[in-house]
Amino acid sequence: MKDISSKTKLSRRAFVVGTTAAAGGGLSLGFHMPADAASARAATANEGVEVNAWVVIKPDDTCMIRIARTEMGQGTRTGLAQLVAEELECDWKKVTTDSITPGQNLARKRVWGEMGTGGSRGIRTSHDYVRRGGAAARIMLLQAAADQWKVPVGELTVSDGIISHAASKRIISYGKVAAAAAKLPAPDPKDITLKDPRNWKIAGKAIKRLDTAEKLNGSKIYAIDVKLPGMLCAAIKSCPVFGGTVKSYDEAKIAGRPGIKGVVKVKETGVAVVADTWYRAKSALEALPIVWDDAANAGQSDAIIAAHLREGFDAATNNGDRRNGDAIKAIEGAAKKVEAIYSTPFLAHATMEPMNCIAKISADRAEAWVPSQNSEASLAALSEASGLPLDKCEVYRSDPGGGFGRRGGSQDYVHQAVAIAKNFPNTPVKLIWSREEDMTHDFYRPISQAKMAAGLDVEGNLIGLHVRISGQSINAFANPALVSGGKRAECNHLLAWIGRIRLQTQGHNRGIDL
Amino acid sequence: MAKLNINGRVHNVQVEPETPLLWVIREQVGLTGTKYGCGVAQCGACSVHINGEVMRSCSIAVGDIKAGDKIVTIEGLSPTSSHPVQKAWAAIDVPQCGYCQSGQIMAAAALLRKNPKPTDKDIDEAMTNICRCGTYQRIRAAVHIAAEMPAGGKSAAVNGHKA
Repeated sequence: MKDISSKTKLSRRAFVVGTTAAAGGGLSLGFHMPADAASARAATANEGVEVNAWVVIKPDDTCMIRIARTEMGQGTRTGLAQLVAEELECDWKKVTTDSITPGQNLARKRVWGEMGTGGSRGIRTSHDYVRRGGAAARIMLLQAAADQWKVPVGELTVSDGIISHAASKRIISYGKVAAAAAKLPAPDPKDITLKDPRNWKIAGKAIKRLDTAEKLNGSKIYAIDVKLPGMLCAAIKSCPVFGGTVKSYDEAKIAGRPGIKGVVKVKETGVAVVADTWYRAKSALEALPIVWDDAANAGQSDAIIAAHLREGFDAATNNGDRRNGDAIKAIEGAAKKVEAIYSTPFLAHATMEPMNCIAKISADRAEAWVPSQNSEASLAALSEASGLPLDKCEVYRSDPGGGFGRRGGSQDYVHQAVAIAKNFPNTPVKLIWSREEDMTHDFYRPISQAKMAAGLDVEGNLIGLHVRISGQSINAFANPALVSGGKRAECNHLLAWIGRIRLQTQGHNRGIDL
Repeated sequence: MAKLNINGRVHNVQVEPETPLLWVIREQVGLTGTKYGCGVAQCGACSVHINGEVMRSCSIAVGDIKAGDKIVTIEGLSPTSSHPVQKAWAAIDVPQCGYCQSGQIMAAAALLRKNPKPTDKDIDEAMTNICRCGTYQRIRAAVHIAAEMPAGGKSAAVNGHKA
């Protein structure tokens, strides 16, 4: 394996991508991904034995722990491995990890559960079942040793991946019994008693991350770094006004520039230039005259948005409130009134690695390399955009260079990459957004303002507190069903009202209006 | 055609002279440790050393590179991730997503070359690279650790690379 990876830079990339996709088969071919999840599993078997979905053990006792969630800097890869390893009772020094693909998850009836990673869910909502996965593997490994030695499994102990039978002074390592363990029936996860966290030795401890080394010498391959044979690169510009479309563009103006392979209109809203390198694509796109139809939001401005927010402060009605007593009346009658407005602007997620996606589309197969917080959402986007069923699609994962919520539900860049790649069948096309595009077409953190008013009595005691919040609901984009249709339409999709606010309302005369 | 000495190896690349050095390093030479972040010399993800000085390669046209210029990228900082800055970064797990860290490390190595014992203020002033994960506290701590290592600042003087 090392020989292949060290021969050329290209091979090393294929190696890294192949490893990411759990694809030993990718190595022998040099570049390509496995045709399906089954071949990926077969390839993995050569590298070690899958005891269960979470644990693969190699003859040298290396424990490869499968990771479904996305690592993007928050440490989830290491944290999840710690949880599995804790129950597995393996040697932490011999733990490696492998990121499963959404196609593999789908093919195995989502044995790895949800892959989406956001809202602090990576550990919080998977710690229970990943620990059960580690524990189930341990139980099977111990049983395999007991069967081999013909002793009751209850007489065995295990520590750091070494199984011991004290009475006969025998020991054996996980790597030696993994093949036999894999053939045993898996215990029912519900019947497994997990370790008391007070006895944890690996989980819950501040342990060095497993994936730091490659971030120190340039060897870590992000999706933006992936290079595939025959790959083309695309730069895109979408209408700078949200909701606007492409009226026309003058392709002749960039004719004859080096490396250009084509100009593609993307979904009526954008234009992409495709070239042999990204810089050539991007600089040609900058030189390409494009006429936009700014459509309904043509006149939108900071002043209009600010006016909307002021309307919210002064409106006679609201979209919900929580009250204790009558804060407004208490403040009106107060000896001293204090009022302040606090505001937060629209903010781009601004991941350091700009949006990007490689798509390769053929008549019966769609593949994408995506830095995603939700690889299953990426797979769904790939299927939808390519028109191919899910089982003809696969997404290969790279750790995103930052996520912050931008790469989860919104798979816009996958849709775009597929739309472009469809024009170049069987050819991988890497779409990279410029930073300017990234800042212009983010799904911004909603703008919001809060007017806070307080009333104090003559002794300075708080007798009333009132908060009115005016802003765009994140649900206007993320979950429109939660936002009342009328308000949303009325406010030109800018202002729907924050739907979920909690405030401690102990005592009286406190309230919030939304 | 440009002739570039990168990490001690000479590369002849066929590219338009206005192409930023960053993209030549990434796309023609094929070294992808140097990152694209902003394209306008603001974020520092593309930092490389040119003749020992830290430079933002996204804003240097390859045509402006002179014949004798020695370019060092993150891949060439040390042969085995053994530069004091890399060791210090590893010691306290500085990186989070890691995307900006090539640039951070190159900037820190250049700082220590000029100023082997920087104060917090020196570090804050010199290290203007952006980290969206917010690793600034550990970057500062790691620069101090690197400065305390044997030959911390000194080895950076030759970029840790033997041409």
